[in-house]
Amino acid sequence: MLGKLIKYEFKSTMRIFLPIYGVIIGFSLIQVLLDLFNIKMIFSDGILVTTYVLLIIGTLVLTLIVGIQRFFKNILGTEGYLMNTLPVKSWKLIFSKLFTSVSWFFGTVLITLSALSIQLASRGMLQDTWENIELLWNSLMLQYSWNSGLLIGKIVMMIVIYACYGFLMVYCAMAIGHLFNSNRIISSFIAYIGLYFIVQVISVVVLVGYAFVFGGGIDFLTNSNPDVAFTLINNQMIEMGLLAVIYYLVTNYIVKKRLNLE
Amino acid sequence: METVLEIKGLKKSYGKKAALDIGNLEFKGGKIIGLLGPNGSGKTTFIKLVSGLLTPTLGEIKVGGMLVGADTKSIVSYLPDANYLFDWMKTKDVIAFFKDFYKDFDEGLALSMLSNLGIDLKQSLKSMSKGTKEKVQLILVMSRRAKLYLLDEPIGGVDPAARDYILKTIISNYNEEAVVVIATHLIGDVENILDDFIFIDEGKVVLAGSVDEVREEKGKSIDNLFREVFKC
Amino acid sequence: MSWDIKDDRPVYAQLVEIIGQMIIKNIFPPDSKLPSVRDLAALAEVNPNTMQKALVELESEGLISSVRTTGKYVTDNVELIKGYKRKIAVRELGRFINKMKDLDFTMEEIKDLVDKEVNNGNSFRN
Repeated sequence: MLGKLIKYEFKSTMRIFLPIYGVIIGFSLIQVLLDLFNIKMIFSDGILVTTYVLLIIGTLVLTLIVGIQRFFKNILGTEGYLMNTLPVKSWKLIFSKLFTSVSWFFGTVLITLSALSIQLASRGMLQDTWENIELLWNSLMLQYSWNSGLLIGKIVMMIVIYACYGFLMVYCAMAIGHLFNSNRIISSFIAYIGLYFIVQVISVVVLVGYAFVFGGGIDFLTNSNPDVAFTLINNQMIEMGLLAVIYYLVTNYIVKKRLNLE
Repeated sequence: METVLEIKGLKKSYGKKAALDIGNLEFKGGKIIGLLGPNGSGKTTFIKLVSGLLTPTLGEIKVGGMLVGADTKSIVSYLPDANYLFDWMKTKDVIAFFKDFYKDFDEGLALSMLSNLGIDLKQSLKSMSKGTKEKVQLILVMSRRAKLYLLDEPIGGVDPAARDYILKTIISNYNEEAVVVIATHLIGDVENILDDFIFIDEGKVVLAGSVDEVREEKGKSIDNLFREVFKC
Repeated sequence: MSWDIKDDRPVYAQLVEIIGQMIIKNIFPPDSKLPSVRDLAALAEVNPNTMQKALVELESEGLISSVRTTGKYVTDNVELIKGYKRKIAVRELGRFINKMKDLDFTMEEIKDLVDKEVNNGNSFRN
């Protein structure tokens, strides 16, 4: 059932994302063509670059909005009549939304990078850029004797955890807002602010904890020892992962036991 | 016949206001039951509680011996009082959707009913008239071999021809061992297809019984009885 | 012939009459197979259990019979159908006469009136 839920979630959202991805790639290709035939546009390069950057930022924002809106409308809103009467467990419903939203987030990042590569390639800069990145990467690996496979894995995992954390926090806030009989949208906003506040408090407590562990107050923040930095990042990933799990459990509890579709 | 739907001490409140407070009810299989009452009397609240879209404040609801949840949803076929299918889908997509999620969905039956109505499977729901969309929903819901059908205002706001079509579709297709609950305020239109009736008002059961007994004993239709009970 | 259900009497009793009349009028001819209970119920837009009750009643009258597994058939006994027709006619006539007596007609006057109206032909033409 989970697979089927994810399949329909992709089918529903594909109609939004694929055309936009098409526009981004198309936009890059048009610029490549203009460059190729040396056509001078009446716009300056600056305007083109700005448009491009805005397009990409817009798409990223849209990815977040669609992810949030799918959950709100499809589970807690009008489409919930169909979704919540399906013989599937609520955790699967939530997971299908989360999985799809995080996937599109990755999709948007990849499309952005591809578009960027096309631009760079057309200006003959791709190779240079790539070589620079490689050089920097290799020197880092050497200097700190890191394992590059491990590092890539870690970066990917970090993005996944951050994305899950971000979406689940909003899901959780909307689920808490759903507990109220009226003004559910406003309640969701307030719940989000509340969650944000709690997370800040936790962060401060953790930070103070570090100060004791490492000793010497907040000096550890400026410590150049990469091992300390790694420990901090690892711990933060664990912290966010735990919070994400809590958000998931709370959201699931509310959808399963406290649903009230008006 | 076995008990299909069992309700114990059911109450649903919003704040201090009770939207539904109907105590205990038991529905045995093989019957069509009319849940009758004026607008805002709690009919939809009842249907949504049983289908799992609302959570009871007090009491419990069991379908086929199980508390409402993912398991009961596989044997409950629910028709909401509004359009609830995804507009971007084509008819064939919705058929595939039902087939994917409901094991008791009879695809052949649905396809034959759709073709009788001359509905093109490639047509998107978005481009259909309200009436056609309602018929497609009804066909999907009645094509399931469910244990409990919950139909919320299935004939609300339709013309007489559509009404006949809808009633005939319900009668011809419901699973014989099942319970069919029809919630409506249009009593005269449905009373001939009912076994039993339940009048509710302001969330409470006012009167319940068998349609034929009322006719036999009181010599009046349920519609007339309703007008008497709810005269204002 | 239509499935016109009135408000004031049990539905099944009205179904017995309507189906009985359909058999008399040869809409369901002798020895023919009746539609299934479900289909009859859908035709009449009534509850299938009520339709079943009506068919049981007609069966006890001998007008229809159940053949195991294959369904219900109208009796092949044409005399029995004629007898049933007569029974209904007598019942209706009784009702009519009672009503006329309520209007202070004597039996002789009723007969005369009926004869006259039948000869004129106008009021019975439907």
